Amino acid sequence: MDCRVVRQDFPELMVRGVAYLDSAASSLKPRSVMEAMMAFMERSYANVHRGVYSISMEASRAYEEAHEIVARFINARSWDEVVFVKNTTEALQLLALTLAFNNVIGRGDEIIVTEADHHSNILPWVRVARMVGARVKLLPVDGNGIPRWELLEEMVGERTRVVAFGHASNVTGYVSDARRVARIAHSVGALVAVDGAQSVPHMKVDVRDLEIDFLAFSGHKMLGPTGIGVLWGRRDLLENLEPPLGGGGTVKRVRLGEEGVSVEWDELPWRFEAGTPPIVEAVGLAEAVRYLEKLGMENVESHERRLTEYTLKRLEELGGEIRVLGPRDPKVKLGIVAFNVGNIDPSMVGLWLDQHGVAVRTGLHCAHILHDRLGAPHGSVRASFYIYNCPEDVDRLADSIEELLKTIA
Amino acid sequence: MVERRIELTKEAWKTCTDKPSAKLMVTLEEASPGDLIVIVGEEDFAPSSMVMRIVSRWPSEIVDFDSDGYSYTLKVRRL
Repeated sequence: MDCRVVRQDFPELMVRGVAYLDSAASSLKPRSVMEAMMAFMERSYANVHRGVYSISMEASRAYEEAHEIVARFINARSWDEVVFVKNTTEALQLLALTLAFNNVIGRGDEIIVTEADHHSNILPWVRVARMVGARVKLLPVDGNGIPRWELLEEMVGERTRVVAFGHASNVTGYVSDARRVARIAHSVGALVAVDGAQSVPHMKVDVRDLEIDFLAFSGHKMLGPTGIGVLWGRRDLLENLEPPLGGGGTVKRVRLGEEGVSVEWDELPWRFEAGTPPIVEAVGLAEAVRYLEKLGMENVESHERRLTEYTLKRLEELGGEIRVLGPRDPKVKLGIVAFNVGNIDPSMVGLWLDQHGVAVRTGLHCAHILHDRLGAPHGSVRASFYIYNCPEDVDRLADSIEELLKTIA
Repeated sequence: MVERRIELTKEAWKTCTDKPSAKLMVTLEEASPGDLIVIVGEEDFAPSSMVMRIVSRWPSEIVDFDSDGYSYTLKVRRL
């Protein structure tokens, strides 16, 4: 994979000339995704599953095909295990609410998340636990912000209903061994929910190989548009769950009888996709997946690991004022490097870098607990990589930081 | 002429959305010619040499700088 060739497919890089190192927040979009969405809107747009006219049928087919393409990408057993939602956050909220709504989680039950998790995988479970009288337990992290999975066997028990965790940290980039976690959780009958927001776009994620039960991820972090995310769930689990959100598109039949309104829920995945779904966005996501598949996820992963290794080396050369958060071994992490420059406010460093043509994320990255544990309560500067980044982007980052160090010396 | 005050201090950093750096950028961006921007900062959190370099990207002149080595007050006029 040649990043210099790939870059040509991303108009924003050509127009702005910036070193875009914020793909963990949101990725840029290739021309093919924009064109697919535009072509669909120009020729085939209509609402789905509601009309019998040819354009609606065409739109429905494209929307269903998007489910198939995403299902193939994560090696789901069938296309109807893929539920389209707005983003990872909404996917995890939907899952937590569904499990509570169906009494899978109830009073006195326990849910395990980790201190390393993004708020999107902490707050939905905390709120649901408060709603039903359950309890959320946080698996601690070590000094590098790595979840201490060796403690999981002691933490799980007969009341554990769910173990939910981020596959790859959005701060340290550390990739947890999802299969190992799944096996421990399953040993006590708990379900396993994985926040794949930072892993699915950057490595091969095979839901069957990982032996997990649910997976959530976002389209906009993997070259697709905003407004579409995925909740994947095992069919045998989903088909026995009633959706917490009802409305258009979720039912086969609603009747008014002597006992009031009765509902016959639709098949999967429609019962979980209430209201008019993200149709154009699904077309865009499908095209994004095609783009990634052409590159090959193994190539994507190895490219980003090389950039990560190079970044760690360049930052290390700058001396002790630079503190990298998390593990420094590129073999255990994806393309994310969070760091601080002395005690300087990370957002000031971000402003400095912006003026040097480098776009990074600064702050707490929706992972406040993890930053507190890492001794960085004001956050960090985060550089994150994707297929269109080249070593020159890393050089621009490191050179700008070097100039900052000289300025403040 | 308007006087605008910005604090680049740990105390001013209250939440993850209330970033002093964003306030600095917005203030510099929105200031009219002649406006005075008073920046109160802490050297370890927002080094004055760094802030001066950042400010210099906007048409501006430094009219006063006072420091005790830990905290400083930088007065900048937007041109």
